[in-house]
Amino acid sequence: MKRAAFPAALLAGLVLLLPGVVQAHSFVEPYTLPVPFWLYLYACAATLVLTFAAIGYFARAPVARRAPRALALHARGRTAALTTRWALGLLRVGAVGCLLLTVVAGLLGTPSPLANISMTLFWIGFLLAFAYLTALIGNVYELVNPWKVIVSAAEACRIDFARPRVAYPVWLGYYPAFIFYVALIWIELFWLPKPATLSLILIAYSLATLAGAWVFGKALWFERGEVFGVFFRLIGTLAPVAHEPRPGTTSWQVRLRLPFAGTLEERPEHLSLVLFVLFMLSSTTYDGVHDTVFWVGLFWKNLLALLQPLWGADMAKAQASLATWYTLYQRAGLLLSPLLYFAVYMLVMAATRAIARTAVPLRELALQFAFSIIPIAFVYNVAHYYTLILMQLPLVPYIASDPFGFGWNLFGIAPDFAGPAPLDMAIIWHTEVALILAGHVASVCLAHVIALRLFPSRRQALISQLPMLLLMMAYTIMGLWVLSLPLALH
Amino acid sequence: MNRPGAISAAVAVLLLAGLYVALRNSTAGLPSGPPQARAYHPSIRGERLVSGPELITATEGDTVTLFVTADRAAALHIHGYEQEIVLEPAGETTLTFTANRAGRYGVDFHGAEHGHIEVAALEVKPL
Repeated sequence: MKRAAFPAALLAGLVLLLPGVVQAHSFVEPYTLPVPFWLYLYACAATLVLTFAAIGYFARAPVARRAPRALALHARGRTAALTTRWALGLLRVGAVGCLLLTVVAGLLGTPSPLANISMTLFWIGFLLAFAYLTALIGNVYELVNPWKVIVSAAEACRIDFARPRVAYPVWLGYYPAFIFYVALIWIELFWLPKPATLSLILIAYSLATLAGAWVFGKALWFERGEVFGVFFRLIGTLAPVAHEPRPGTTSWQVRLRLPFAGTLEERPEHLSLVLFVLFMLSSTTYDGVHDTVFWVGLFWKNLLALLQPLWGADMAKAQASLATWYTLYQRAGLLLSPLLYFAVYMLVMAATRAIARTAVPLRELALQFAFSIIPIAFVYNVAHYYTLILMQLPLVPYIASDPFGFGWNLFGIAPDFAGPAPLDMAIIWHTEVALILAGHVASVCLAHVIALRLFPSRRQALISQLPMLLLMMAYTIMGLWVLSLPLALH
Repeated sequence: MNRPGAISAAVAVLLLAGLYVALRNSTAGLPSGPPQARAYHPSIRGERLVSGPELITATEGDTVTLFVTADRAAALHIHGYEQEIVLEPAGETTLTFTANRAGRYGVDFHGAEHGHIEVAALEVKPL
């Protein structure tokens, strides 16, 4: 294959072949069809059955008071330790390289979101694929975080990031990370940037991260202000692998544990982290619901009928202002979703407190149970977005071969791209439902384990879980319902 | 696994399997006959669909024919299927294709003024 003949035609072809460019919430439009009604009904019934099975189990199962099994592994011997250090160094350089590639490709490369590697690398590779990998291999991000590497490099140049210039206020908690997270989803849903815009956003975020680490000290900023660090740390709790400092040394070790057990090993220390967890769930739910006939119709039919005195009866005349209202409605939905989820969660915790007749303060209960929601939030994210990865995967060799869209063919790939491989709808539906049910079971079980640890008697623990069970069933059924809703036109 | 756990799990699995079979057979309503021919008559005026369904449905294997009328020269494009037809103003343009891939695909109107406008969607249900 000659270089010259390759790319322009191929990329033009790719852009044409791929469904849906830009506009919607993603630059690749997922291939999904709403889950059929019978499967939705089945999944709801299955949610009930599985919940009762979990109650049945916990009503009689022995309470595990011992620490869960874990196996610590670390490099033994000089050679192994050196190899580990080199591997880690390589991963760190690779992480910074990916960040740089995203920024540079976005600035210098083609403005086409499909042909420029920056969009695929950031939105699909980093935010989806790497997140799902984290749930399997643990929070590796903590070790390779490119912004941490940049800070280390700056420290090597005698800039002190360890000492806080301003004491980090306790009330600030995880709010910086939460605000960055809301901004990220806002950009994803309403303002999916062009490659160049993404680069500018990443540059601004990098500066904000460096500034945060400089002002408040790197330890606290990377723990509470760096949104990706918080995001991957929460997802990492699901993994059967933990990466932690080896006691008494400066090196790291790998500890094997049961899947999901990480959510029981720690708990949020601040309510803002509870809000962050709930936004993981509410943002995905909102992404699912905001383009459905239901959500769009709620505005154009129900809400407008209520507000008619404000705009008069002539829809054509009021078109311009109604369109503005609609934009506000769409955006307000995203901003209000975590607050609504938080309010409901706190109500459920108040009910738990009342029904269990416990003296444990409400705030403490809310913190104790928050991580049990991570599995539901995570599986819902996977069910919602995994088709995007499958869609984009066949394109990866082409994008890697011509990352900037300049018409290169670095790997000499033949341009015989035949369009994305058809995904079998039935498999997608069943996978979505199975994932959501599995996450539900995990969350219900985790909440029960937490209750058994928290309350002295088994009876009290089981009774305390009634409100939480209802909440989790509501989350799950809501998630399934959103997947079954017909989509509106864009 | 201990005894209560095993019993709970066994009961749950049985119930789930039974429910699945029952629901799939009773309410599925899955079309299992031979492929059908389906015709739709979308009519576009300006850049909007004025008649014809917003949702064009088919089952995998069906033959879909669109009889499209438009009031201006433009193109109609079905994403995923990569079917594109040039619409003649003041006339009917016909597009026939086999719906051989399940999924949801946008049907876009490519007019002169704007780029993409999704006027309808094609939903192909799997067999």
